[in-house]
Amino acid sequence: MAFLEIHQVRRQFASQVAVENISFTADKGEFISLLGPSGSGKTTLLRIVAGFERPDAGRIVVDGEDVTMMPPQRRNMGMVFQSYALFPNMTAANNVAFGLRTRKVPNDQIQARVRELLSLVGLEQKADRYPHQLSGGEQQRVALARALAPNPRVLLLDEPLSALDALIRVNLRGEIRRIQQTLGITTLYVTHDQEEALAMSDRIVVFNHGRAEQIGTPEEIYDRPTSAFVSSFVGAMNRLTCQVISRSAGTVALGNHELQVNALPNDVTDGDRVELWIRPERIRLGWDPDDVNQNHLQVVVDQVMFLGARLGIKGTIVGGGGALTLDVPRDANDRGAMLRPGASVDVTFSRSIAVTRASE
Amino acid sequence: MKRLSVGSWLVGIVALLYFIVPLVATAQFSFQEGPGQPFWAAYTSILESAQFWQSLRLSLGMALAAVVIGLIVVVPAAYWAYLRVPQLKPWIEFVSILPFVVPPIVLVLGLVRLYASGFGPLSARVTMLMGAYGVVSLPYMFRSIDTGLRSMNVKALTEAALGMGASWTRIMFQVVLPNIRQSLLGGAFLTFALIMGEYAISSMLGFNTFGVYMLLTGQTQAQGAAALAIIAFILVWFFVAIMQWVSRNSITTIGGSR
Repeated sequence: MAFLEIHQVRRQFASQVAVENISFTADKGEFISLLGPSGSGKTTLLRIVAGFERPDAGRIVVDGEDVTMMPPQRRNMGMVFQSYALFPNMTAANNVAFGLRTRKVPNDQIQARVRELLSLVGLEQKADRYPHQLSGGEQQRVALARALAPNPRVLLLDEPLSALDALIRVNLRGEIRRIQQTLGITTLYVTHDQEEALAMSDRIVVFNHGRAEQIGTPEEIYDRPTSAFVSSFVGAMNRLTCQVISRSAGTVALGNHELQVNALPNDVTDGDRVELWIRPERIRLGWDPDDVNQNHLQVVVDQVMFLGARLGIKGTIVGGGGALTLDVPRDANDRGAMLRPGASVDVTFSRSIAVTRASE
Repeated sequence: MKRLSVGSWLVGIVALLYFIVPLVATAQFSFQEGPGQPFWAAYTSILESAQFWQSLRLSLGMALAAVVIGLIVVVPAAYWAYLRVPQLKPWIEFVSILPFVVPPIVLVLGLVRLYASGFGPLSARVTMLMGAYGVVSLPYMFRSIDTGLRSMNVKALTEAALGMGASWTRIMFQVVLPNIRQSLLGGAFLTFALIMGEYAISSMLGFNTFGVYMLLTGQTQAQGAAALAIIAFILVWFFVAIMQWVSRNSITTIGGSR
């Protein structure tokens, strides 16, 4: 049986539906990211699970207990806020001890637990510092330790890394995942950063306009997006609009080009418009005319962006078909690719790509 | 350290003189007794007056009551507005400045007309005075507390505490009050100073408060009034220092966090 169950949860603010009939479950120890743009309803759902918002409809069940109408004080959930929300008048140790004191845990046990948690987040040396004496990353570690101290049933994190620098963010996300796996605590993690969600999660719920667009593992979300929104929100995606030439032969027309695809949607017929979804990193430089499993295009390079380990290329397809984005290894130029604005390059991509009916 | 310009010094000196000169002049005048009298005669006459101590006790009690009313009414109201109904904040701000708009005579007449009889303890004149002081101190108390609440993330801190199982009492005494301590003190100081010098309301309600006593003394004894002004000045600073000392040793203990 699932440890955390979210059943048909709905929440409306005035005329705006913030969360619309969301349902999913989480197993014990599972890390689930709620991913979506601002205003997509992910934080509202987290707040409903925490008990800070009441749903208009639906149920929240934790370990078989319906907590939908239970006040937050009694839910035993640990919450980490984007703004850290550390008590400014208390030291790091007293912040961590707060939840234990409210539960009237004996003082010697509080001291031991505080030491254990501060050591877990690597801050045992800074127990007596006040929040204003700690860096942003350290404050967020204290907030994590504070949330974990009373052994919560579920850990809820509301964009905990978004106020931090990029390097600290990457380090801390690894640490959060390590601690979560060490403790085996069921976790809901709100983020708008797709890289964060892909790197940390067991499963991802992609939110859009209050709805769960797709629920799946990071690989499923990235490789097999089920909607145009997910395809473009999670990672970059080339969406090429084509016309079906022959459904039975699997051929489509892109500008003057005829391309082959392995699978067309069931509901399209010859002459219908479809979209090919191709990740930039799935497009390869160069062309082997003997390889019949690859589609070939010629692209005029418009822009080359240095991205460190990779090069981002923006180009225009020769013979019509629109713009194309490529993500190629940094040493592509060394291997004779001649990637510079105005250059014409051959590119190929597999026939095994996602094809969907084009939106009108 | 950044050096101050000549202009800044000049403004500072002029401002200092503006405040210090009248005080020094008043003190000097209070020591100018007639022949055969010791220079401190005005002070002994004031301090030996039973009326002085009576009015001081009354004003101190009223100032304390106004501070307590402010703390009991304004802190929870402002906190609740920040937490639950932020859209009401402009209205609460509007209400808080009403005492500036309503003249004391109107306030007193309103209170007397409404509460003169039939409201039990509320109809007592002393309760009316206390209530009136609670109302006139509202803008000072609210503005100070508003500044304090504005500087802390009320909602997130409250939710963080709620999520950890804290009761509302614990949240108020361990999270909210310690974090707005400076603002509470500021509001309390302003209220205290205001009530200690208040004249209009108390005289209309027929009370011989410190402000009324000062005015009456000024009408009969010139040096006495000057001495009283200096005594009042010292007393207000003395009580403000006591309040600061008490709050430093109490709220932090309640919070138990430092």
